Amino acid sequence: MEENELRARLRAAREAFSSERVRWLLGRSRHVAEVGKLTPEEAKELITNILKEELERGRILSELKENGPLTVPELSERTGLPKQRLMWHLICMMKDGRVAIWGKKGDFYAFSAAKR
Amino acid sequence: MEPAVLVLGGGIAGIQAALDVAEQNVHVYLVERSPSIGGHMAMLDKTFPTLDCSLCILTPKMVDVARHPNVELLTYSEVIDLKRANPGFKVKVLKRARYVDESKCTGCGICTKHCPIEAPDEFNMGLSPRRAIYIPFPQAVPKVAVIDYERCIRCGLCQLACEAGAIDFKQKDQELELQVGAIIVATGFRQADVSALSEYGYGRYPNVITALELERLLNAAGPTAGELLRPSDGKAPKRIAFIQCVGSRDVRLNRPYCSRVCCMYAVKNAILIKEHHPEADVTIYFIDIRAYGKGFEEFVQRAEGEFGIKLVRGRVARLEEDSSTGDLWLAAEDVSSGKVVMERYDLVVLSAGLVPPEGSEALAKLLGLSTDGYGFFSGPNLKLNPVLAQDGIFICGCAAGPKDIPDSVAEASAAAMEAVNYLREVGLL
Amino acid sequence: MAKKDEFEPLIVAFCCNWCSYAGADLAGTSRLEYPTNVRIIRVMCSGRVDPIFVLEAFRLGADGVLLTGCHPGDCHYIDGNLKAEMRARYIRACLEEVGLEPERFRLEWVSASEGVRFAELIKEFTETIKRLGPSPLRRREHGGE
Repeated sequence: MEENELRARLRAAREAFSSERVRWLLGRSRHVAEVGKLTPEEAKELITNILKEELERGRILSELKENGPLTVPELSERTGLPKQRLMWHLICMMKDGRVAIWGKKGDFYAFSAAKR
Repeated sequence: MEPAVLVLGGGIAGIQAALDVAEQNVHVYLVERSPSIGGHMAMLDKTFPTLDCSLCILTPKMVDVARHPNVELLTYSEVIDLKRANPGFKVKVLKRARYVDESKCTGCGICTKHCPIEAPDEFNMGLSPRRAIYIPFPQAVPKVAVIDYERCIRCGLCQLACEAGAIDFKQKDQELELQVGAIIVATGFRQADVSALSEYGYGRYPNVITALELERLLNAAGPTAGELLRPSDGKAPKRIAFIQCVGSRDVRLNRPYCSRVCCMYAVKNAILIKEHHPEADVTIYFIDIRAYGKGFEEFVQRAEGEFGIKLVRGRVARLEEDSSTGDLWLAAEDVSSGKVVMERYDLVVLSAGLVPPEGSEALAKLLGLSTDGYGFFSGPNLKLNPVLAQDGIFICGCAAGPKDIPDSVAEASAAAMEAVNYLREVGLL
Repeated sequence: MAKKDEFEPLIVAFCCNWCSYAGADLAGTSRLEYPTNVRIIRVMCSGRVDPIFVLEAFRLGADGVLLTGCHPGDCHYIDGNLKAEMRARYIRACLEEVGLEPERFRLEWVSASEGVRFAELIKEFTETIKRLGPSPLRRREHGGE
């Protein structure tokens, strides 16, 4: 795999492991494994699915942090994610307060990483 | 037999009916299928023609009805059986398990932050996420979390997080037996499914949306904090078209009736867009503009004159997407000029009609109600008694046919009056 | 080929103070030999290691990352090592998703008396990483593909 792509993915992984969703799941994993109703296979599937999603979101966040406010087409070029999936992720992250609408770049709305 | 009234449906009509009956010192059971009362009105941004904020005028009534000493609120509940008891009725209500103890939950919402499962939020028309445990919307009444049991994976994270100890996975559905003297049906409506009209490409073209979806996008509490972003790529739409009578006045779909509110809500939505984006080019393609009510005609004039909204009389034949940009080509006839026009738009909004909600047919059978051929409930003398469906059963609001908020409220009060009178007639009061 | 034979892995090892670091120390005092590719970072407990530390190590160019702690039941902080075990699952899943070989990360239990085991572990892990080759982030330095 191309060096820059791997670097970007590892940055995304750092964002993903900083996200509330992953950290809560991570922090309570032992409780889920011991007391929850999940089988080990189900637990593994849960972790993988959530990681997949949060890695994509982490990628978006790290692109926004490194490159300033970006529009959906710009994000699509940099991350390789389809635009509609990007829109969904952005809306989810807006709800969590990780991303905000920054303003307009030309005809397109641009998003920025929210300040904490 | 108890001197009580059962109100089916917790939208504005059901809420009004329940309040009016309760004020007569009669006990009311308000049964609502979804986890919160409020209905479609809770989803709207502003209402026509006054541009009142919808929730601002609805929530005081929601709170009033929930707090009224004569009202028993049964949310996340449905009627499953009914028998006439002469006088009155014996009704079985299924109170579905929320897996959250209503008496303990404080509505703090911490559980929703810890749930790892995401799902499309029905309140936002699927445009934003909610979790498997969720509070329907911030103003929900009752403000109690509910677990979507199908999506819940029983990881127990919400239970760990809840400081009130309100999560209870052992909760079961409850069957309640009620005795009531009269029933008011206020089950409302559902937005027509417009994917059936393939010529408009709804469901295939991301930038073709329905009126309710637009309503949520424009709402400051909606998926995009009130910014109008078009779904395919987050572009700020500059040219927007509304298509009227989608799913109404349509013989093909067996919906030849007029849905009454779409002309006005489209004009209202067009005005809201222009208020946000004065530079936007907004056009409404209509068959007729039905502005029959108080202040309606003036509202439409204002839209044209003050806001520069274009009104074009002509049917839209089809929409075609330019897949490289997501823009839509709209082909319509312009009746005034007699020409066929082909125009390019960034976003197209379908003014979808009103149809009976899911389960209406089954409910009609259960209650022995007649319908009008399109699924709306009807009665023996709709001209002189529009709210009477049957002996002891009354209908109001959109359950009886599409109508706007003032008309729904008026019918609800009428139904309440008749219900209470009926209780006296049969000697229960 | 000459260049490829010169690949010396850069391995970061997080060692918990009470057991595995002491074990590493014992290997030293016993004059046991093991490859010099490893950079040891002492932490008080394997449970201190956030998955982000491991990911950052890889991002900054590590070819392999080792996490060592006390045997289950022996943790000085009772259950820190159990937390590390749970996190290791996430780390492995993440490495797979990101596209790095999950074998580049390993979790092992080493007690304070296991000097020999520590040396063996380093030898073995270094071999594994040599076989896997340099991290894609360092391939350029090694005349990479």
